[in-house]
Amino acid sequence: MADPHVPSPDLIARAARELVGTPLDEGRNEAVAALLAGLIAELGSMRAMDVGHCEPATLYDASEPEP
Amino acid sequence: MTAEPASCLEIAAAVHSGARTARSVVDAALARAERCQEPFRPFITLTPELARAQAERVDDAVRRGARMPLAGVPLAVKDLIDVEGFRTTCGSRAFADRVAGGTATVVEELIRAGAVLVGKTNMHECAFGFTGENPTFGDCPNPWDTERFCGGSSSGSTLAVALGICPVALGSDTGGSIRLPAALSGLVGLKPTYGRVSRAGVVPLAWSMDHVGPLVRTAREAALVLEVLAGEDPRDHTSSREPVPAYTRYLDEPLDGLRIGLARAGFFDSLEPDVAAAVEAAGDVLASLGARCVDVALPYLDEVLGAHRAIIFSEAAAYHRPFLADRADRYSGPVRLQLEAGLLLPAVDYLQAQRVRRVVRRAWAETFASVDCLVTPASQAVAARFGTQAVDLPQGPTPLLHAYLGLLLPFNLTGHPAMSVPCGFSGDGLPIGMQLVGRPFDEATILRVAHQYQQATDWHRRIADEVES
Repeated sequence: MADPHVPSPDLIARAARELVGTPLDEGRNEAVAALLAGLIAELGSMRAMDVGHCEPATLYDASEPEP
Repeated sequence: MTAEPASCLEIAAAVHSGARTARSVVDAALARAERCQEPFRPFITLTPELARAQAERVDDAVRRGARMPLAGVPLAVKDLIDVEGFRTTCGSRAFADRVAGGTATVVEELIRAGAVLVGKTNMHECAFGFTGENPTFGDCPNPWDTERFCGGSSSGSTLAVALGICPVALGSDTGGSIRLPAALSGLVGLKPTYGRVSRAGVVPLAWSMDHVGPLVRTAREAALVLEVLAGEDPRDHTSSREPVPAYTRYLDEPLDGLRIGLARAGFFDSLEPDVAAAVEAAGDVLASLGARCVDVALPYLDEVLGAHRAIIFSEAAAYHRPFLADRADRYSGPVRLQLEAGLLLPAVDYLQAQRVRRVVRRAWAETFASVDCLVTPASQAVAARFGTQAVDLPQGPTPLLHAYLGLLLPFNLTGHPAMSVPCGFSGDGLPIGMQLVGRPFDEATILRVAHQYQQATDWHRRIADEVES
């Protein structure tokens, strides 16, 4: 079974075409899948972090008062 | 080593005293820019007619008694910053024929202060990279060793200053793109607090992490330029209303009692020995000036990298999506690949990254409650040769992204002001930078620390032999 964290080129092609609406050129799926796999690996600890009830910093303001 | 180029202050003083005209200064800058174009390729577009017209306006104003902080100072801006009537290529063939319909606020402010625009500078394509390699407009070599990269993405702006063409250039910094090339090329690079300087008229890479700031030789010049740039801009809804202090006024205040935090865990773990020695020595210099150095911890560094990656890929892909739809083949391979990967990142990762961002900012605010600023290395290694894939560090071969941006990008996520200051040279004669990080909107403190450090050292006065030849 494929590593669930590594998207297959076929999945990438379908996602780009069917979900994002920006089809990738023929032959690019494999390279995009490889880069995405590396990127997803880097997101691991961020994905697992417990952020409690914290809401996203959608409009960013460095001087925003902290609750 | 050769003579130091004239500073912003020296040029403005000479123009005000009548010793030089702005026109003669800009003519010399333009001639030097043409001489340096090969092999350094700092510029994508030179603006000689505009520069000479602006210089003559400055000379007229000075003759009528006007005083301007940057009178006659040659200026270069990264080619993602709009100047009306000139193309803004973003360093990409995808935008090679895009002509700006207006001028960025930061350029308007600098021109109003007397600066003279000599050109728009080369950069890593779309600012989405950090080596300064560019397949369309040419790679930017390091002035200290032309077989090595000078760093990016503000590579041409760095070279414009390092080569003595302009004493000030503007760059942008989304993950270290001002501070890294400054560190690798021996300059001062300042990333102000998010919201401190307008982004209006600047092509984004990642809206919520983009910062505009200066590359210069000295902290005093950085303070002078920031005084001109800082402030609320109705054209940029994220610009802050926070009052703007007179940064230059605080530079000479002593460092007695200032609390400087050294975040050893995470920032000093795996450095090239020359880098570690230089930054430790810089800490000793600051202590000798009266500062008190204490160890501090910044939690969540692993999570910060992931959050930064999720945000930069998602926001960059969102901005470039319409261009990918109609001109994908005009992007270079690596940049196109990153943008296409960004299209496919789940939205939940982007939102988790923004939640992490808020948690990290709260936690680091507690750290900053006990110190006035942080000192870290700017990078784990000195400039590498073009084509290098990984850097050999004490903890093993390290990907370039981690070695060169890992210590810088956290402060794009949090928005803290941060700057790189020259603090030594490696055994191979390559510049080393230390990073100073302040509390939000407290650029005054890091500029003061940097200035006091530069008064006690001479690293910033050294000029590469390559520059003169």
